[in-house]
Amino acid sequence: MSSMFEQAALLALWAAVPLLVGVLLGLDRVLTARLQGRRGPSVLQSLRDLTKLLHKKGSYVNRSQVLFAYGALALQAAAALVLIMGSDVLTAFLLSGVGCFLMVMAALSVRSPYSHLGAQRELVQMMATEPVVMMVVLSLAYASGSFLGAEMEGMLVLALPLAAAAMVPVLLIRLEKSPYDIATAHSEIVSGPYVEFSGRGLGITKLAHWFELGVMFGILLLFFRLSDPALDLVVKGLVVLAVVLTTAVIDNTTARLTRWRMLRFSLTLCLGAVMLNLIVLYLVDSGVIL
Amino acid sequence: MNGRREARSPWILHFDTGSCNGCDIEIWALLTPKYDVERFGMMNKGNPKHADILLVTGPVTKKCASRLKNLYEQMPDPKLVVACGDCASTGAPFVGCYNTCGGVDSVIPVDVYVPGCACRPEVLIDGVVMAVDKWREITGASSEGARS
Repeated sequence: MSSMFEQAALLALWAAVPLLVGVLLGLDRVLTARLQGRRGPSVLQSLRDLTKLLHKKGSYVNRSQVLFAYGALALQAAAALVLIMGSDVLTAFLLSGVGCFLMVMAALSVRSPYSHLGAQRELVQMMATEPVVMMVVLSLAYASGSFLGAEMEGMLVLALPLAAAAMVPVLLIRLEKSPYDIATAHSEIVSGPYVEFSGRGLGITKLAHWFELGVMFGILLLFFRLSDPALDLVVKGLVVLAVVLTTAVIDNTTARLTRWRMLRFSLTLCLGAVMLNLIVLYLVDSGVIL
Repeated sequence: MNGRREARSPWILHFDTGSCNGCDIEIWALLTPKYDVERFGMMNKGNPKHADILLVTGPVTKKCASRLKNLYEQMPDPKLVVACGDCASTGAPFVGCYNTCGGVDSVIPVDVYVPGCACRPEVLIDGVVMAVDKWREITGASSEGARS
């Protein structure tokens, strides 16, 4: 009976992922406004934007664009469900990756050059983050001895501090923030792969992106697990708040770089940090050092 | 709930149809910390497909007319148009000029006229709030119509 209750609670948590991510993004907007000396919108503003979009009819260019957008949402939501239910983290990561790729396909399915440009930039963004997250998931599995999220016990951040730190630039890129050049860049190529979506279609792509962010935050939180449920919740909440604050500060204090510098930074420093951490952990485990 | 959800998140598209840039500078001032329109949920979007309210400046030059119409047609319904400044509202002081259409309403329907040369940011905010009120009426009426 308790197991059924637990499953129902996890399902409720999964259903609440868009709400939680929406509030986090709202908090990020408030923090950004305060850093810029403005009052800023309500914490619920991102949720209001999404509600408006989902109720607006909008238009679409062709049917495949709609199909890819709904496919991206289904895959990202499935990835979040797999992660929350404590199943295979690698499966969740790969499902999320395919979801991102479907968004690229949605952007490529229309004949707008701006949409194509956005799709190419989204691909570069994927190239910058996917290998790092893949190595992070492999490190988590090596340190805990299992790919199942439910079996990743303890504060793995103590064994994998560099891998956890590498998730911060990944989240910066996924949250579409400076110093990284982003798919939804400024001025003439504004809104990147989302350029040809409007109304409900745009809302669906936003929802897919929010589930994707939920998966990324979920992978980060696998580093922090305590046996006491209350303390576990507090620690996870503090970690998420710290990451949101860090990304807002970095976003507002750094200039924007080119996408190639993003790629170089991510594939050398971030990937290097995770691999170094993995090598040190292996050497410690095999008794070569310490 | 009718219309309230939309009214809390008006996304704006700004288009200059041959203005002297006086009104445009005032529109950009809305984004600065002093006026900070984001506190009302307003966001400037560079994409007609994402926008709800179109802010137009300038008397609409003949070259710009087709582009303005194109942008208006790309915006999803319900959509509203605010003519910002005297040029956009009436075409003044270019009325009768060979190269202007004489105001935004000669090309697309306008919902709110904001006076001034250049229009003040406070009046612009007032104009957008009036547009949002009108939006509430439109969406409220359409959903009531759908129910009955």
